Amino acid sequence: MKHYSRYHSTKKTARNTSRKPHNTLWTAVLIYLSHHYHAIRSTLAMFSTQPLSTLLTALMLGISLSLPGSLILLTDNLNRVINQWGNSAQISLFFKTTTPIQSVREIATQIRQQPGVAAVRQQSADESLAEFNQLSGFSQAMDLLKENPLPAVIIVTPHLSQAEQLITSMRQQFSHHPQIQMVQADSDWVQRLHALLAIGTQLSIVLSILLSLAVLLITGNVIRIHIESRRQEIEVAFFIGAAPSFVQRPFLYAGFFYGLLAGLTTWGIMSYTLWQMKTPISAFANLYGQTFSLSWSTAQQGQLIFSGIALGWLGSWLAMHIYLYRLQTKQTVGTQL
Amino acid sequence: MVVFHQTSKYYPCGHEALKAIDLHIPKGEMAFLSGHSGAGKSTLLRLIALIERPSQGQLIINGKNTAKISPRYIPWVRRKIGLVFQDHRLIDRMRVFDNVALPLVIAGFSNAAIKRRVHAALDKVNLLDSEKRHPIDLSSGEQQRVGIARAIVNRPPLLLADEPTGNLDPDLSSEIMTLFDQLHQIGSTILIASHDMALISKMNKRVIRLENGRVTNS
Repeated sequence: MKHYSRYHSTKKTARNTSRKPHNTLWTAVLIYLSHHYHAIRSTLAMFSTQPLSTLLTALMLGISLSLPGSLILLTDNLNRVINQWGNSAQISLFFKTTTPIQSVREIATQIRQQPGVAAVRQQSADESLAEFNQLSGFSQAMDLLKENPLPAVIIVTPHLSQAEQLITSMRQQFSHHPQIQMVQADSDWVQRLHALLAIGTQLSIVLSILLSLAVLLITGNVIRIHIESRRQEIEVAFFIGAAPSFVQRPFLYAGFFYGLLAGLTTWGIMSYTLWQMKTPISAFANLYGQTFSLSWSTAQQGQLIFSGIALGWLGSWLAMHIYLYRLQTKQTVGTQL
Repeated sequence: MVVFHQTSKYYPCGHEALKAIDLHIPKGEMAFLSGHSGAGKSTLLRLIALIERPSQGQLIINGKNTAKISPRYIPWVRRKIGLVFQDHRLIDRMRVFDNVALPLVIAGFSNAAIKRRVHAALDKVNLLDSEKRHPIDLSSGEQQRVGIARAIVNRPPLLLADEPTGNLDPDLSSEIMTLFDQLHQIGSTILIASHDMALISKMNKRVIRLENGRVTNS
């Protein structure tokens, strides 16, 4: 907005002689838009002189982005799968046989209210016996016993993401509970899975940062080369009254377009990879009796292309600002901006 | 229009380009700046164009002390000054039309106004039929005329020319000078740096002589 007011407050000749506007704000908007129009034309001229190198740069940026992009997609999908399978992580509370069913119910209600609990199932001693008979085939042997040796059980299913905390807190709460014989949780595999997933997530974060930095540097360097090739032109523009914003705009657009091309290239690479992997992955999932396919939401695709654009723009912004700073401080050229 | 008051310019290396200059160029005047190379002609022009700032003393343009102009507003001051360079400084990748149009694009003129004004400026320098050519296809004299067209297209009240005939033969030189004289007739204030004494004396205008950074006669 700064530009609008500066333009129409100082550039009276343009307003009076060439536009005959209805109001000054409209003139400012027109001037602003015309500057963008000329900047885009200038950028396209920049690209059209070296179409091959533009495409190669975009391809290089696209490949750089597709590695962290794929890794993020993979960990994201793994997270989804693990949450699907998460129901298999369970905590069992075995009660003392003397515990009345009323106390079991009370404790079950109490557990339901705890955070991180996905489901609670209670099973009386009789139900435990019925289940044991059904599953073990020792029903006749059990009949010989005078009393039911099996306890009542509460089976707690945690939300996977909070499984570890829940297991720890349940152990603390109930290990020494007078009515509870034993707290059992097979949390090892959950922990291992989480550790693996954490490594994957961490790796994708580190790679994302590194390769984003690479994209930033590549765009910055490409823009620097563009600036070098137009150095004389930039100087002339400053001499005939261009503001820094006018001079930098074509280069910022160049960064924007490089980023857009990079985003689209990455999108293409990843779409192709997903399409290629579709059959082997569903075949693999079928072996485990699961139906599963890699998914890539529209929001994620949008995010990817947006990150490309943001990185490209930022790279060119950095290159331009370093250049302008050097130009201002270089006394030999003496260019006052 | 332009007033120098005890203005000096030193460079970090210790070179003293201008030494306590007092000079007044009134509005509507056409004056020549003469002297050997290194006498300070270019420095003086660069100071007026705000490409450099005085080390000491004052420089007042259009009643405004340049020391008080913030760097942010320099572009808007420069749009009121037309600059002609010895090496024309045209942009090779752009056609003649676009080169001349650049100051108008920067100032944000509409396309129709740009077309009208560029044609008028090219007509003035007799190059209307070359608008679609590139600077590289033009002769040295034609390039200089394109440079002049670019300097006058925004109708600046002040025109500065640094050795505009430096690379030209005498015929072309006097042609360019006639052009400046015509612009002067319309009311522009013009300051031309040149070491071509023969040409300057023909024009019969005020001559400001610079020697070792001092004004010797004015």
